[in-house]
Amino acid sequence: MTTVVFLFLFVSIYFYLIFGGADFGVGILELLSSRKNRKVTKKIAYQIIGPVWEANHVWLIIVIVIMWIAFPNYYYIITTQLHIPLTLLLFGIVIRGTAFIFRHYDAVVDSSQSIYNKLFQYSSMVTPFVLGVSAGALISGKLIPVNTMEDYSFAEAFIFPWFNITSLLMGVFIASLVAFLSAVFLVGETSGEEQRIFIKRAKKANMSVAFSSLLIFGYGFYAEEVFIDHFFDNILSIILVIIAASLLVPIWIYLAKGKKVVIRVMVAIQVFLMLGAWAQSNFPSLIITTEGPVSIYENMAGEAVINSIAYALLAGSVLILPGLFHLFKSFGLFKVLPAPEKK
Amino acid sequence: MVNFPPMETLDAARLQMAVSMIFHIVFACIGMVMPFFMVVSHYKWLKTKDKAYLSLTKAWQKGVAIFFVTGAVSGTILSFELGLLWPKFMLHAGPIIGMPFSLEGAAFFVEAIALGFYLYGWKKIKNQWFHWFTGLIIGISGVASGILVVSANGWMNSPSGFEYINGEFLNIDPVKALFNEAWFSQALHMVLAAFTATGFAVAGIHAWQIYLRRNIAIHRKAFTIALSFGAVAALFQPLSGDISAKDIAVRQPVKLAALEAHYETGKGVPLYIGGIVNEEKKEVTHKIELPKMLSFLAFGDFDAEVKGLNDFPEEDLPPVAITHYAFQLMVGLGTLLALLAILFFVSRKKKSLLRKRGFWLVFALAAPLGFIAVEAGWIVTEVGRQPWIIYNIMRTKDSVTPMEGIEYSLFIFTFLYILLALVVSWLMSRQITVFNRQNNSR
Repeated sequence: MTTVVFLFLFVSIYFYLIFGGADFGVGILELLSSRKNRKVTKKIAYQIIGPVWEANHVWLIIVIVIMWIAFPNYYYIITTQLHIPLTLLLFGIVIRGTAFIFRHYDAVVDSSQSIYNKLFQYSSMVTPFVLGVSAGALISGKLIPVNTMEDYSFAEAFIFPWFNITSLLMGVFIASLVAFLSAVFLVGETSGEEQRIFIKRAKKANMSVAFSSLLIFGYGFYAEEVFIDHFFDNILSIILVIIAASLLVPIWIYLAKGKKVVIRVMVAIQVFLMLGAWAQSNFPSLIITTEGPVSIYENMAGEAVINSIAYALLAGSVLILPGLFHLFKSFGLFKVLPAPEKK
Repeated sequence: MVNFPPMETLDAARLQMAVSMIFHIVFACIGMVMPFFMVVSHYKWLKTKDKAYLSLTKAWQKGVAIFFVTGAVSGTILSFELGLLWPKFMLHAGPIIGMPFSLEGAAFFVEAIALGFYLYGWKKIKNQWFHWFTGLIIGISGVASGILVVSANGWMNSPSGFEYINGEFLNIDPVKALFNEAWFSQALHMVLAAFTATGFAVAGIHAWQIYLRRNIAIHRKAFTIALSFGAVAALFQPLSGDISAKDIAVRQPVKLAALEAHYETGKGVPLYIGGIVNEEKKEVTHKIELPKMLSFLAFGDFDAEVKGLNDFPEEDLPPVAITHYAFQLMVGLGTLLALLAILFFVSRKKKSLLRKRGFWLVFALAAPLGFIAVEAGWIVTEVGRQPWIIYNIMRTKDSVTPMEGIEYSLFIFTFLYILLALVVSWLMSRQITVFNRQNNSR
């Protein structure tokens, strides 16, 4: 049953990353667009993301709930020491979600729209960035073991764990990644001149993804970070990253041709591989502290709890997945997958 | 320069939690109940093909969308804040009360999916009854979420499903924790409260429009739908309140004593109405006494013994005055709303009432009362549980985060929430203006 819980945690993070991510990315693309293109992006964002964006963001809640139920010790480390970035994350989520809905549902369209737009765009940039920073903090080796927290200063306990080069680079990486995801997604929804804009955008974002990931590795080597050792001790994760990286070649080729189905699938696989490599190389020590890795098995919730959450998740997914699938299908977001059986 | 005294982390964290809850509960109630109004109006449109119901449905749908989002994001904030502010609580309680939260996550997911179908499905979904049905799902899963979250809160009042041995939580049974002793009375009370508060608030807004003589016909339809829910719930609420009172009399006698400001243990004790609490002198002045009523209400026996605050250890006492005042406010408003509910049902028979402007003014003025009662009720249950975060197991002060400077996050969150509330109110007023204009021109 523990495996089921791990699987759900992984899948939820993955879905949040690709669906929620693509959704954040739209805001970033909007922010980085010229005035003229911004309109196009905004219009498509409504059509595409409107019906599903609520659902996309529930994945984050699922991740959090799994964490606190099954891995309370991890959750404790994260919520105490990453208090500041997580609070920023919350501001971002609130501002973004409300601005998106407000600009859509405001009965009067006037100058307030530009405020909603600004808020939506900037928070779309900041939120995945701090999300990346928080994720980076887990492997940056600057978190401190809980039981020794009194021995550390305020900065050591609450700032350095996330304000360090690895974490910040992770923030840039995640922000670029979601922009890339979203550009790829939008390539599939447009044609002609509009499509060319997004192809260009996708390439730029992709370069930023590649560059920031190289920087993370480079810095990791230079600073002899533990996560680098983890990575190179693990053949499978190296293979996964190599496959992911080599997928870049066909992605660029098909991107240039505007092949929407193929690139979506390949990009989704690529993200899957990268996330898989991360999980594979660090598992079971997904958190690395100043005094070394902390295994996720340490202080894991008891068997009864794990079983109950596993059953709850399984039951929930029976209820949710078909509904979600239909939602995506109904609004034409599933063109990339093999056509589902006709009802 | 004014120098504020430094704020304790505990106080800041409690205030931030309180502010978050105060706002979330309003958004959540509306997001949970309004879909039902929308679905009824939608049903009437499909059945009668009266265009007024269609435009009402579409207007309410916008309200649902806006409140769902604010409810969802403020709920996301709360789910993080549990850990950010009370990490020690979550470290131990997280696994135990995970069951309601994971199920709530599922219900919330269903709600989000149904909302996607409903809002964007007007043209896309061919079968109009299926479309209508997705609207119903929004409401049902919303209520399910509400019940589950309240069950988790019930566990804090009535911890169960584990053994507490030498400071460790052992033999955890999540299902038992989910069905703790408080869950039913609390969930029933909250669901009825949500329907009452939202029903009266929505009806009140439409009553105000009728009072101003704007589009009377359509606003009357809206008023009737919303208040039918609100009035029925308001009439059942005293009953549910009685269940709750008898429940806490047994489970949390100190909370009962605090909300009644009852200091001296005795048999056949009176019920106080109003009164000013002096926590220093441990007495209540300027009150009205109903002899033997507290004994009766708490235990169904006029001569039953009710334990007073003086018989509990000092360090286990909640803030008495706040709890007592909040309780009085909640009960007073609840009673008032029940009376208004009766007035509403009378008006269904006696149509001449509807021609009186005063009738509409009364309901317009009553719009915020239900929500004030809801807030007061949460103050009773939360402040009344202090100093415990898990009743008789863990103290609130022992669970607070070691992080410093929580007052800054308190200030920013408070600012954000107030801003959000203002923007949402402003958006709603714009919706109503546009709604009136559109329905006039037709």
